[in-house]
Amino acid sequence: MGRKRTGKRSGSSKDLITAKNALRPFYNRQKPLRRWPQFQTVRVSAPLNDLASIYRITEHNPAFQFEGLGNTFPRDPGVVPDATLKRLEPLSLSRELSLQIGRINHHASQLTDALTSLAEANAALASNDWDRAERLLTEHFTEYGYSLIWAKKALLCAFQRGGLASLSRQYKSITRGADRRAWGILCHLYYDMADSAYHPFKSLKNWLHVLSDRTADARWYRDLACWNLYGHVCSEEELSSTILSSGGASLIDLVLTIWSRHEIHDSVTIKSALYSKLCPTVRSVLDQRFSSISLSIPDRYMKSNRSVSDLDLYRFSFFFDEVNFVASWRNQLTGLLHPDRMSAFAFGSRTDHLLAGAALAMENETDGLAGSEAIVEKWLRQIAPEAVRIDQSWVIAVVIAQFLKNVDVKNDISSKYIVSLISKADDLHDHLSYDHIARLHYLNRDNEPIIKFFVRDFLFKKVRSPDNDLERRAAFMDIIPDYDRHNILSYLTSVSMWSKPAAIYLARTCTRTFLERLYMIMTSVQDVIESRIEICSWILKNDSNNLESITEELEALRRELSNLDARSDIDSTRVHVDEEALKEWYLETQYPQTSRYIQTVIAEGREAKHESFLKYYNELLAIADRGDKEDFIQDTQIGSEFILLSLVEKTLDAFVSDRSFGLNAYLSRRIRHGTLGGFMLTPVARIVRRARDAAPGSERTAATEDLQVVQAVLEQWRLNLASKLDHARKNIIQINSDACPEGKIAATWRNASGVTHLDAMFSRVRQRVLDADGAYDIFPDIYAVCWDLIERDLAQIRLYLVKEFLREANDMLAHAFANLSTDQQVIAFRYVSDLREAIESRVLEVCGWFIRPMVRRDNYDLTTLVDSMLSIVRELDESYNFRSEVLIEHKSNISRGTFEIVSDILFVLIGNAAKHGKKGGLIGVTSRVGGLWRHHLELSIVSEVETSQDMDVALGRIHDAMDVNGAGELDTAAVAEGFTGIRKLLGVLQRVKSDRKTLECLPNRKTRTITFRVGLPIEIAAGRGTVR
Amino acid sequence: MKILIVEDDEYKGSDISRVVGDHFSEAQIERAGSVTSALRAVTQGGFAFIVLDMSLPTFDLTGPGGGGSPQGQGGLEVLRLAKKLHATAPFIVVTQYPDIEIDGVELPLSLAAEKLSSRFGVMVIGCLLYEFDSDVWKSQLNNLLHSGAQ
Repeated sequence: MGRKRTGKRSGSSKDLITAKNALRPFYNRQKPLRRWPQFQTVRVSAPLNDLASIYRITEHNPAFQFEGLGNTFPRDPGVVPDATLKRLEPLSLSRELSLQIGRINHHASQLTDALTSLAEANAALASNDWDRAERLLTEHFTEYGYSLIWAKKALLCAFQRGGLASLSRQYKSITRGADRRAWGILCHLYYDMADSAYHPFKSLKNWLHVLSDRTADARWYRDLACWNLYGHVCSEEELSSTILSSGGASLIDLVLTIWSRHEIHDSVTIKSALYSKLCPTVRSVLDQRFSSISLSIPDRYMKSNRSVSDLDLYRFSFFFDEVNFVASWRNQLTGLLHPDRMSAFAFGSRTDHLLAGAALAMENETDGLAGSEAIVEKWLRQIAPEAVRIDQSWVIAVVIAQFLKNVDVKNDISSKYIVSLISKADDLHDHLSYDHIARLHYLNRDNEPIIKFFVRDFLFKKVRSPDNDLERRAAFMDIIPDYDRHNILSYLTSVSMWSKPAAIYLARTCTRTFLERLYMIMTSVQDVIESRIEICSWILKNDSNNLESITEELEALRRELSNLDARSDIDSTRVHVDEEALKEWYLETQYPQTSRYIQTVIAEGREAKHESFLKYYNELLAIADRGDKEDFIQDTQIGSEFILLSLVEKTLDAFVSDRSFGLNAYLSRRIRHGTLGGFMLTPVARIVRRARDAAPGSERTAATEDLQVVQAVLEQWRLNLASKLDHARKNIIQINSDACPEGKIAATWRNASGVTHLDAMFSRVRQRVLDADGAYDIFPDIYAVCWDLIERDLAQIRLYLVKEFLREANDMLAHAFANLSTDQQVIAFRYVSDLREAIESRVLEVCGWFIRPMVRRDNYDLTTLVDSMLSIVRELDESYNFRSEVLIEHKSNISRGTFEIVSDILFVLIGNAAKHGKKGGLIGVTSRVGGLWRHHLELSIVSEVETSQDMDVALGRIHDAMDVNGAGELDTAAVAEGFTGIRKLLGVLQRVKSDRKTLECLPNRKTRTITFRVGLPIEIAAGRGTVR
Repeated sequence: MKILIVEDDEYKGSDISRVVGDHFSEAQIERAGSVTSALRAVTQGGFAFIVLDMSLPTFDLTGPGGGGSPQGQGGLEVLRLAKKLHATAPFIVVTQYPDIEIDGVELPLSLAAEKLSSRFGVMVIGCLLYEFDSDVWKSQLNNLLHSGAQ
């Protein structure tokens, strides 16, 4: 026994020496030294019985270059948590607890005071005494420095005192100098949770998503963030790691991390550590001040009618979940929100979970829903007993999801009951897995077709793929009797008899885009418009939400319907993004962020100063130069401009890449895979074929051999051209990516012109939001800036086509021609000349496809359009040299359809004037409204020619081009060689279905000018036809 | 024998009609110029073949209000819905591009038929490259019509 005891004692002192020796290199050392290997040695080898003596050496020892084996009361936010400790490995839970509680005990006296001070601030916050809370938090900070828990409270208090502006100032103040550290990220997380304009559940999901992308190297702060978001851990190992990370933040965070979850996890190890090892004074203050709390919901989290939403209660409780009761309360909900994390360790052995009971109560069809609502109400009141009225729709959705997951399919539950539950819940798909959604089929006892639609709709909302979209539309078509569009309204009415929420859900689904693709129900655009009008009218009568936007849409639809005869099938080769579909996507996915942006702008007010994004862009560049990741800087940006930037980035991504409505899909389908090849090569092939078919005798030389050589050379050139075009299609007219590095469409704001566009747009939108007091739709601006941001890319494509593609095509032709003998050149001359003209004309025409629609709003500015078109034509060819004068005699805007048509007209007429007109001459564009008809736009383009001979040539060319009759002849002309562009103009006008369109050519030999005068209705409805 | 040609381009449609008419002189050729009209025709059934273009408007261009949104992959929409509509007729895809984008991957026409068949659960017996100035596609179409008829 004696030897054994001696051995233990000597072993213990040997470990103690090892531990002390591990720290020896730090003793009075000037130069910094890596800490974690030595710290880990101490943590592993220090005898638990001798921790007190270890900590007497390590904590607050001026001979060491560190504060202790973890953070204590840090004064530098940059080390909360301390990155130098990030490589420490967590130990077993019991050892980790012993080590950390040893540190807590070492600092017990000061820590007890710190906890008491924090509890005082907590009490003031919970009772909404913000002035007192702020004072107490300031005192606490002065005394005990930074901690995550303090940051949480300080940000909450700032928001409650002064709203978003104050929150933003507080964030900037407490992260100054550390905004690119883990501290900045964690504070941003707290900022998001405090911000009443931001949906806390979406915030939680967003942050979990962001954090899931972090590598294992980021575990030291990721664990802390996840701990904050989930409020629990799933295993002893995870808890051990989180405790270690908290110890790296501050002593206050450490002790509250251990304390607040001991009830949840119901862990003997934690309880034993807390009750047998923790200093009694610390435990006493925890017991008394951090066991329970009653929350008064602050005004800023209340609605205007003084009611409180469950979401805001959930949000507010987040700031108090170091309190045991709050942590347990929240964990009931977390259990339902994250069933994948459900484990005995995460949720303990407690069986009094009210929310689980609420889901069970739903099995009773007669009053199950009411019963569940009563239970949810009781659960919510536990934490906010004084709230006047609590809106519990979000928690009810979570509970309905729980019910649908667990209900036994053998239960005798009617399908209509299931439908009424489903349609009562908001965003149910967010709470159900794929399997759970599919399970709804098995619950459909009465084979109710509407449930099949809900299943498909949920799957589509989870993954917006073309397959899922079609499946949900097919399911919808199946529920409409006889596939007759006239039955949609009667079906909605019949559903509303037994479930109004279900009928409203269906009506809200029937957007214009959705209706248009109900192939078995709709037969024309007119059908779609009429159906949408009926549905909008029904919504106005039956649903009180978003009536303003529905009313606006209804008016626009009625205008469009009455205007269907003055319609233009816009040339579908033009670069295009489906604006309506993009807007639907935007409203569905970005609405919460938009609302947050608007509220943040209002909170910041007119006085707020914003720097150019150039500075931010430069910071990103500097980070990229260092080879670092951008995550930190992106995750720590606060302010309305960054919310808008995030909206722009997400919308730009969908704008460019969405497979059903994005630019890339359009380029792929209509240009790369569609008309480009045929359009460019058709006239070329016809000329080459003409040469191929030429009989030897028909040529002046009559030399068969020479003709054969010419034919072979031309054919080879055609093949080379086709190959070059293939390269352009596959590599150039593409979104730039790793797979396609030559792609010209970068679609980014990260360049000087992008930054300029963003700065201008942000300042404009901000001003409009403020002027309209928040009632301003920002989507059109975001949509317009997406075009702004790719304008440079489109110009690059145009430049490529003119400067590289066309030049090389011409060079190849010239080279081939030069290598022919004189006799062969005589034969080839006519073909080569025709080929040059044809390919040049086609390339310029294709350049016209890559012109953006300038300002996509309901109304379009003609002056901007004319100015832009003049600059686009100027850049097409460096030899185009002209002066311009623009006179727009009216301020009225034009409709989208008219805008598209006028774009094409201007491109053709200005382009021709620049090409064939006098070098250095004048091109004048004037417009006026009125003339022969009301609401009529008259556009004049005048240009000069150099000489009388030039005038004759130009007029002959124009006369030939205009001398076509009827669609067939025009179509034939469009594929014939010698295309001048005037025929395109005729084709464009042909697509305008109005009696009021006019086109005149007015030459003036005296002034040597040619004037084109075009008349159009000012409001043309736009349709998109196909190109022949 | 009924054959459906789904094509919105008049010239291409006429070219295809001629080849099909020459191959099956007794065939009754029906035309559809949009996704909607194609699917309505498919629902009626009874077609020996369906010759399908990939790029189609939603509605016929001649209808009130025009063609609606262009659908670059309107042909895929037809195939996607065809199985639901119990279409049993073999499809022949005639397109103007050497590959077809399926699930974000551009597949050459030589491999596309098999992929389209398995992807959408319908019988696609071939995918051809249409070139107005070449006769290659005509003989390929004839071969497919011949083998499909057997």
